[in-house]
Amino acid sequence: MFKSILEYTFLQHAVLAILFSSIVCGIIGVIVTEKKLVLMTGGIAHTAYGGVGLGYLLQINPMITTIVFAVGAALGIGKVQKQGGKHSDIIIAMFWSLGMALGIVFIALAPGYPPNINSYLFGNILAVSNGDLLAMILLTVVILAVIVVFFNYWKIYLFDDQFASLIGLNTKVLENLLFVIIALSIIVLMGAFGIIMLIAMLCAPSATAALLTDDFKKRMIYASIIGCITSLIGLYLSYTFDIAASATIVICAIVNYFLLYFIKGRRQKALQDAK
Amino acid sequence: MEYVIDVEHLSVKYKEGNVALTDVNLKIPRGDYLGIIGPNGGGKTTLLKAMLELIDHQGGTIKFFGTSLSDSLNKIGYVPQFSSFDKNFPITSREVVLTATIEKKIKMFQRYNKDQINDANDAMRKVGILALADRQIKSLSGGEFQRLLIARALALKPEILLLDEPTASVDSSSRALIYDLLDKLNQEGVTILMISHDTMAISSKVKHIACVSEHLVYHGNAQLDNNIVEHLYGCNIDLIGHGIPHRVLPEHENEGM
Repeated sequence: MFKSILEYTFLQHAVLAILFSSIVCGIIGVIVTEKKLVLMTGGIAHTAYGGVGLGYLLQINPMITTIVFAVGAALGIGKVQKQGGKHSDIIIAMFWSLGMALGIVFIALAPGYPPNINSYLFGNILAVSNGDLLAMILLTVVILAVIVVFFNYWKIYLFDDQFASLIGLNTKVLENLLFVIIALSIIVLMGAFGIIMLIAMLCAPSATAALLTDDFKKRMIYASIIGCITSLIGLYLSYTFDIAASATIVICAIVNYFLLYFIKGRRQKALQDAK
Repeated sequence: MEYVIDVEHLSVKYKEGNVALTDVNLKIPRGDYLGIIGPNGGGKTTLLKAMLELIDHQGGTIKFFGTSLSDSLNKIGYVPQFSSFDKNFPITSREVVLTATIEKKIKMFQRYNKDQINDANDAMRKVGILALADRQIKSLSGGEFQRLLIARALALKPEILLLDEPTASVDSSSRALIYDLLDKLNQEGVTILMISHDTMAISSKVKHIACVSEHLVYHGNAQLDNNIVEHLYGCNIDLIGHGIPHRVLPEHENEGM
């Protein structure tokens, strides 16, 4: 496979896509899992499918309409989540399905031969185009910059947003910025892993990193590295056995989590027994 | 008299439309030490949160130092109920206290300087948890975590300290330590408002008591007499006076009948 990477651009693109999506998975994954925004993130991702359909209907680059949909959904769902109430999960679920339904209807109404939408749903890391890759890199840089530049403020906000607003920080800005960043992360991951599976790539590496360190910053770095390694292993396996790449990567990430979970559990038990 | 907090005609409704607080008037003079008591669900926490504009209120005005809350934020320390926290969040004690010292105007690549770290250390020393500074919060006991939250509020160097059940689910040594600390802060001039679920023991140093049960049922001297007790349905409380436990409120003679 290593020789093939030098030969085929599609494999080079796949490796680069893994590299950048792993950074996003590591950073945003830790945030959404710690802030308990996993359901919300799933909701945004699925709502964004409406944007894909709209792109085809209007015959413009679906990336643009998808970004608009994802950001809109993030701010909308964010508001619902913030107001809380007993019904926020119901509202998120409705957004979730509404986005999917709109996407299907828009694509049905779109002129011409219906496009292959599987890559949006399940991802296709072997079909990342030059344009996709450029967009991924650009968005990853933006996401990384926003988190790194205001890192200490994010930490305060994520730990206790009430306290953050009480000491006079503008939490409204931080909150909306976070939702936009989550929406952009979904765009980055959508091409590689698809709407349905990207949530696994946000959860598995960060959950694995949580087994290894209690330091917030290290957790983000570990999660990025873990995401990258498991993705490359997944890519290698899929190439060797000729199976769907994105799905193999997702399986690798999750298996890796459970493997570490059990190893850690056994080691802790052994330590306790030793005492 | 100068009032550091002036609440007038405050009314709060929950989202479901239920009334939480009706027409609460509360004036707190500088240097006061107020214990807020009342039945569960009576609106004690709601009162504190509404004062701090953490939840919306439907009527009335709230003033701190004769001005708005947003102009007084640097003088107010708030210690929330610790049950509202995710104790698994990856953060050390020192980092939690440091958050209080951060520059309020968001700037790029913010780093904590020596003064801020010293302030955080001082605050932790005051509550006796400096030795735990580098520990993850999930490894702290209930009492230690509660003191950490107080340290975070103290790092703001507040003139008013608002505490929501600071001794709930706390071991007795931590409880004594927290009460001693609050007494000392009050003597140094800090105005203190403290919600207590703890009807068995409110610190003897509390100067005034407010009983909240949708209305402000009682606000006045911590020495209660029988006449007042009649109005305090649901606000039964035992006070510990001058280190000697004794009942201030006699039990109703017809209780249980």
